Amino acid sequence: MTSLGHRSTEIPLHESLMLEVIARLPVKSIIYWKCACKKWRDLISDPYFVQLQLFASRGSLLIYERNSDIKDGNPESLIWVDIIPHEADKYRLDFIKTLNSLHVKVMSYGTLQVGSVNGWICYAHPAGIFYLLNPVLKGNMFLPEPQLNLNMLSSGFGVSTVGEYKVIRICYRKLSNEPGYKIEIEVYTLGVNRWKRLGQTRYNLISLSQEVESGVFVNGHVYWIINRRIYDFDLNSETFLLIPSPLRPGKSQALDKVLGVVKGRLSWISWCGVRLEVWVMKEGSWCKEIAIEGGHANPCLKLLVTCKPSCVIDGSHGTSILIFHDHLRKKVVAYCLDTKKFLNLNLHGGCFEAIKGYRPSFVKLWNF
Amino acid sequence: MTSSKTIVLRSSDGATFEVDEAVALHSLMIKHRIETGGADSTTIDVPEVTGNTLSKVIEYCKKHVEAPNSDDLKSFDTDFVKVDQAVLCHLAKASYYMNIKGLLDLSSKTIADMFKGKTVEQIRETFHIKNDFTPEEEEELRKENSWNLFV
Repeated sequence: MTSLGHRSTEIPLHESLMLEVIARLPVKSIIYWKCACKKWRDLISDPYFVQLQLFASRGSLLIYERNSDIKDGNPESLIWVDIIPHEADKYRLDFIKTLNSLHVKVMSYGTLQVGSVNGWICYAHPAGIFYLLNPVLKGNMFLPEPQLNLNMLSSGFGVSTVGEYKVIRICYRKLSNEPGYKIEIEVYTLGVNRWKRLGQTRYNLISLSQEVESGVFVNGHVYWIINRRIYDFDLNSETFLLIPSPLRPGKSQALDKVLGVVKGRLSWISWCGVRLEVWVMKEGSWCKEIAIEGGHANPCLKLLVTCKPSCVIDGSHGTSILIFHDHLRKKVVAYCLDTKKFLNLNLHGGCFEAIKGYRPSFVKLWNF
Repeated sequence: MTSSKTIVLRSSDGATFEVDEAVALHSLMIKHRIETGGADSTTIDVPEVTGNTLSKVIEYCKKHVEAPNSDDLKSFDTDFVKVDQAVLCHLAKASYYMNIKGLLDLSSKTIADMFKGKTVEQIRETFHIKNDFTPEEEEELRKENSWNLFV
């Protein structure tokens, strides 16, 4: 029994209940509990608690910042912050740590976050170097060199429904004697320790005009928007499928589109400077959740005019927050999809490369 | 008006509460009791929970079953846990025992928020935990968690 409170009003809380409480603490506090005594160290290291914490984990943010002053050799740094509701529409961002002090190598110029799953973050450097990191456990590893020596269009990171963590590379090469490109897919499965070439796919996964964002992981699948189409990679069968986008063909020309995860479902967010639409995939079909026109009806939308939708993150009380980013003006705007209000994130204007949602965990992918 | 079945819940100190079956089923423990208890299980004993706490638990279940989509559900939840520490702990225990996920989540989160800023020493002091690590084990832990010190 663990007693909470002053001696006069002690309420014993049994261990299972204490674990429920500890699972909902910020990561630093959980680590402090691990250091309290042997019993708690063992209880918190136990797979039962790791699973509990994984599902109860508080959402936080990873903010990729570019430092204009690169004297210290690190042009980019990653700041991990806790997102805490302050008042009604305000969030306070509590600094947890800066990750460049841990893994300087990872943050070399051009490294991008591929994705994060169950507390693990996957990074890719254009030269084909992939890295897995769990900042809570200080566990990390470089993946072996990919087999395909081709340009990479995009990559993705996810876990299949049977618990296999996989990294996907979509590569391309210009054909020498004919127009067009050869697309080849490569997959790395954690535990297998080498990349596996999946060969070509029947789909023309090439985008010449725009950079392709990393895949978005939801429920055993990784999704990409490539050339205005949505491609679904099933992590179990390791195959691609083209799925319909919510918009009619032709309509999606001038839109900024991004995929995200809203309450555990794949969602499509599009923004064209005056109209915001959020669609969510429910039972195989798209449902329009939000459609807002700017102008007189919603004058506050003009806050977003120069911004692009960046990602969806989890707020407090099960809300979803859409992050908009204006790289040029160094502006970040947060919009809550549930309360339909703009939120004050008190992020100082900085040179942000990206902002991603992140759920820390104590999941160990291998013994270290 | 549809007639709905009611269930009587009896607390550890003998207090009884008549509730709609739908409300009672919000507790997975009660749901299981009803499903396995046979046709005449209209009175369910809840010996781990006192009358005061049970009454509050029922209030929570009623709100979440009868008006799950109401706009003020979030403010209801926020106000619901603005109680003193003792009541909060009793609610957490009851929600755990009665298997009411939403209330367990709400009460655990609230208790967590109450002491989340504590250091190791403060945790030991508040919860009367004895440090039983050897100096070597402490050093091991310190190394393992040295990233804490960077903040």
